[in-house]
Amino acid sequence: MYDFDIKYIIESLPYIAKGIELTIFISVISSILAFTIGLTIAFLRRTDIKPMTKLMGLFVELTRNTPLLIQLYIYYKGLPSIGLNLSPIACGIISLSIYTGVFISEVFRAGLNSIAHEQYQAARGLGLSDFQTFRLIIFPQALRIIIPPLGSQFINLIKNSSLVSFIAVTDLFYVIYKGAVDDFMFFEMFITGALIYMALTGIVALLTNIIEQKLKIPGKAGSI
Amino acid sequence: MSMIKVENIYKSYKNLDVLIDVSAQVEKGQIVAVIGPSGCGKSTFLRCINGLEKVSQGRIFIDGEEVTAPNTNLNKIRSEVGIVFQQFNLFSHMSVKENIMLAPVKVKKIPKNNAEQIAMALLEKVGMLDHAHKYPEQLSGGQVQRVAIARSLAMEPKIMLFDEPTSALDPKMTNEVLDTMKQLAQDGMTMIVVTHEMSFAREVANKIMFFSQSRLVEESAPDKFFNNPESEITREFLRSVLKLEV
Ligand SMILES: Nc1ncnc2c1ncn2[C@@H]1O[C@H](COP(=O)(O)OP(=O)(O)OP(=O)(O)O)[C@@H](O)[C@H]1O
Ligand SMILES: [Mg+2]
Repeated sequence: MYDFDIKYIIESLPYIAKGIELTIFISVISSILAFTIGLTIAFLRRTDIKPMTKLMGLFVELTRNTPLLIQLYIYYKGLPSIGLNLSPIACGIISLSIYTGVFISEVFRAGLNSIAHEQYQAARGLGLSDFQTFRLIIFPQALRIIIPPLGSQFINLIKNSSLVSFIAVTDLFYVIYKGAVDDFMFFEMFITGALIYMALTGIVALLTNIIEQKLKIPGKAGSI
Repeated sequence: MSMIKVENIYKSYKNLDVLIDVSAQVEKGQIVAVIGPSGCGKSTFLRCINGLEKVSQGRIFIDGEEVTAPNTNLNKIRSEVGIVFQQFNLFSHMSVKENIMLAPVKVKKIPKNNAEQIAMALLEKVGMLDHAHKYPEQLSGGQVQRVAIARSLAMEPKIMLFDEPTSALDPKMTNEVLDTMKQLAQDGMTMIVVTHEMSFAREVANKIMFFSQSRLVEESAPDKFFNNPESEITREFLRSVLKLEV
């Protein structure tokens, strides 16, 4: 039977901790940016500026239909060639944010489309501006609908962040992989890694649930 | 000066003509019932009046201000014209009180305390004071509509527009809402009501506008409209709806 070497893991903890730190840093920053990008794209696609909606639609299709890993390399190798020298971490954050942001924009779009037309008309009819209607009436209702799928996107983001190790960012996956390969500790490191990723995504799932409960509208279907 | 003046408006979606050469006037305090078969353009007419829909041609004035002018401040005009729809009126993420306070606070910039007092007074008026802290999903259909009316009134509108406010309600709730509307009429509010309730049109309205196939076919006092209509189309329509009502 395979001997699970706990001692090795304990000795590696300082490195693993550094990896966790970086993974959390990248995930948190990228989540915030992805949310902003997603909301912005969804908002722009709802305007009646035709070139803008077309351009955004094209951008969404290009981004969500190509592998994140390829996009990562395009930003990593491509940005310097146009004179933008960014650190690998920054490139990782940019590609993760854009990739996830595009998926989030689709989640937002579905949520916004599900709001009854009368809600806009009632708001506009009261004299609220376009932006007030969006901010005070449409967005808060759409947000409540999309919290579960939004949570899934953040969970995906955390898992996808492991790809930044390909461009030499020393995140959690990088540390695990290095230990596994250099020291032949495959099971120790990959199982430990899986458990840590599960803990990180579990926190997001838990937060999603808490927020969903907190924002629940009294009397609305699905609540008690 | 008329409260509402509609001059030769046309409205089309792509190549579908929804309103064709409609002209009308509504005086201050008048109660107008808009009736006609489904799809004839009643809702569109109503939404053009407060600029929720843009007309393709023609002009509309509210209290002397042109709604259809390119540089007009539509938000201001809309804040002076209340509108109540058939359903999905209330903002489901806000309590009854918050629904009513929203526009006075955000559009008129009235301090929250004052807006709250206004909200409570209006809720009392429509008989919903006990429900101030409930959410829309916790109300009956009739209660929702009465709150929607109160919400519009909070902006002290010059005109109230109603688009089939009772069509989704059972008879008991319908009466609740119609009573609230009758009370408004007695208070002297200028009202345009799209309705299938012929009894309301007959008893409360002092003018009927009958639309058919995108045109305003007949415009007359209820008495004349129901007993001695001018056009054959109107007679046919009345025969079909009154037969249903009996
Ligand atoms: N946004 C829109 N885009 C395209 N066509 C529309 C739109 N809104 C309304 N229409 C069409 O315009 C016509 C008139 O619609 P409107 O809602 O004004 O009729 P209505 O008289 O209110 O009917 P109902 O009694 O069923 O409410 C209909 O044929 C409808 O399909
Ligand atoms: Mg209608």
